[in-house]
Amino acid sequence: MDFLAEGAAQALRLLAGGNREVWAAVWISVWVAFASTCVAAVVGLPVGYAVSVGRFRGRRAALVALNALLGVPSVGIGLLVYSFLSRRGPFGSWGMLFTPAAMVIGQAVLAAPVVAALTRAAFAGLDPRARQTAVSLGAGPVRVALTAARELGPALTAAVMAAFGRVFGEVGISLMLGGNILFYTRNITTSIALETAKGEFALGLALGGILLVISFAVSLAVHVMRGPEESR
Amino acid sequence: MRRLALVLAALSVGWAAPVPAAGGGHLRLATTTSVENSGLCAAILPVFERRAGLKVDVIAVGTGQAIKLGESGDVDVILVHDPALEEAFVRSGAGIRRTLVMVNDFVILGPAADPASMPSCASPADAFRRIAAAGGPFVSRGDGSGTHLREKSLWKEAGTAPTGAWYIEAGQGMGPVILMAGEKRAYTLTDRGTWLAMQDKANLAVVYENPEALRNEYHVIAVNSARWPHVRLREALALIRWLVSREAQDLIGRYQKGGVQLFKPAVPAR
Amino acid sequence: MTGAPALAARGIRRSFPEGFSLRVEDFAVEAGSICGFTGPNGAGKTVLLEILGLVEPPDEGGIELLGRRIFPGPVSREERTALTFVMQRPYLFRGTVAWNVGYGLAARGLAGPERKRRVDACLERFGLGDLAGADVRRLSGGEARWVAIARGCVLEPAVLILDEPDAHLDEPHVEALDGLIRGMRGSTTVLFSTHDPARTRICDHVFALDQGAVQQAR
Repeated sequence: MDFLAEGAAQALRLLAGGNREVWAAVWISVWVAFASTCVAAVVGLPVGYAVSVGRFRGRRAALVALNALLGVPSVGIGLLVYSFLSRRGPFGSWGMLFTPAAMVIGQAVLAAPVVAALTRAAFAGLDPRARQTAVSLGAGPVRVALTAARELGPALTAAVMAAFGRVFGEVGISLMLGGNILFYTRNITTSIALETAKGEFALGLALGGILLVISFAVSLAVHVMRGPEESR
Repeated sequence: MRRLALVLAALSVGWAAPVPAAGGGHLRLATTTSVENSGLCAAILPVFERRAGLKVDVIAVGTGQAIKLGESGDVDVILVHDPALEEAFVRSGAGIRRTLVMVNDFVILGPAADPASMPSCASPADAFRRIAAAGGPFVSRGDGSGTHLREKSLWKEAGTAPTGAWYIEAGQGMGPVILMAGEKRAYTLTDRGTWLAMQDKANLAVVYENPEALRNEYHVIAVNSARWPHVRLREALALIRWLVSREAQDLIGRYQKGGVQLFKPAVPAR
Repeated sequence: MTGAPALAARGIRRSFPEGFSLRVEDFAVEAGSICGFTGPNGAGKTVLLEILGLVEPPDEGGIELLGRRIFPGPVSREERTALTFVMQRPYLFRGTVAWNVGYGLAARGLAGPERKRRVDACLERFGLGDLAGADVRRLSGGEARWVAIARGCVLEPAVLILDEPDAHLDEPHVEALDGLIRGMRGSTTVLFSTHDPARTRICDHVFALDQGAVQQAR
């Protein structure tokens, strides 16, 4: 119980005091998660849409695969991407291991199936007349997709936010691909891992609290950005 | 919708933000968690960074993994503490300019009650034999780190292969292992530096120490550019030169945690 | 029939697992004519109109629009825009009445003042001027249906297909509908289905459907 109170006090001290390491970790957490969520959205939204409304051979298989990918543990993904990015791996010459870019790639691989699966579910729940109407009014396939997305309202934003939440709090990929390098690839979660390993539980809790506060803030910001029609 | 797009566009400009300003470039150093967790790197490396105009990326893993990173060219230089692995690394041509940087020793930790009655042991091997006889429990790093490798060689010397429920292979870093040993009232082998950093966090005591027999040497080795042309050999050699310079050696010797010196410089002060 | 028929369908087959199947051997309507489709529920009116409107594909058969085969085969943008279908239960997009009415024009690449002009003109013609900025969720069932019809008509298609446009429509709108369709004779080919025999008064041709088979009644 001691830890919690101490943790809370320490969190405030760290942030207010402008502790360089903590602020750097916050910065890295937010940007890496943001970038990987963007990549995941760019990949996942169209894939989810295609699997939901498309009629192609192997659609059933794609659906099964999509749901299976959701279950892959983050360390598994970390390991897989590591083997690609290591100097011994096929993309070793890019020298991307132990950089924030590597973390973004790994996290994007983790998040894209989340976006795709939730997008698919959202479109599956959409009234089929929406797309039929768009088609009958002369909309091309891209406009039909955008119109369908518009009709879904907050569901797609929620899918992307779910992906953000998934990567913002993950640690396995960040550690393995980033190397937990101070001021470079050390984010909040890897800092928590480090401090906990050093027995600094209160500090770990403080960092965890900061993580939570930021998650709330992001969620709130998105809610506000969506505007008044959120009540739908 | 448009608002969202604008915000996204604005924020995506900063996606390069985590990447620090180009300028000096990065030198990748793989070292052990015990060195990193002691805080030594954060304390002394900035001096080198300023001098050399470089950023040193410190990746903290076990000695075994650090050597593998060196072998695969994923880092430019390593700072580790297992003589056997290091010598093999250099013999294979993967590493060059192996240089002693600092020294401390290993100690055996145990519960205050100390059922194996350790202080009277004649040698570390003897100590390990007593632990096995008493049924431990003993928590091992189990992760191919320098400490783990030393522990394994001690078991070999003691002539007992540790098996049984009393031998716990944690597969974690030194910090968590010490905490675990405290929780389980077990014995464990640790470098003195980590112990000093953790001593107020675990209910353990040093039950056996022998600075000569348990001497722990840290060497720095550069990755051979003949094997991996992309490694920053010049910068790695500069780091090695600096680490044994008077300035760095003094910094190492003066580095303290909780009022205690953690590492002895290889080149003693005159 | 002089000249190519506006719309023709041959050898159409569409079967459903429940056992119902639609069979249309040879069907054609001349340009500018008004055709009504009658028949009891379940006779296949909606299925036929959806097929002719290119909303649902038949299992077999071919469809020609203005003499060009458009099914089977990909439908080009111009062909798609020559044909407009208004569903039995229309779906209005989230937003305002004006946004909905302008949707098809936007899809055609019409933008800015030109689109606004046409939307406004259409809203006037349909008496929807006051509701231009109204959120579609606030419309009554009849108003929503009327907006859907306006949305189709603003595109000035060569062929307009309406599935039971008079259902759930308030009386003044029903009269306006009659007037609208009558006014299109000669310029637009109109096909619509209805339960109300009174509606077929304005038709040049009437087709009766029964259990998936079509008979020309007039």
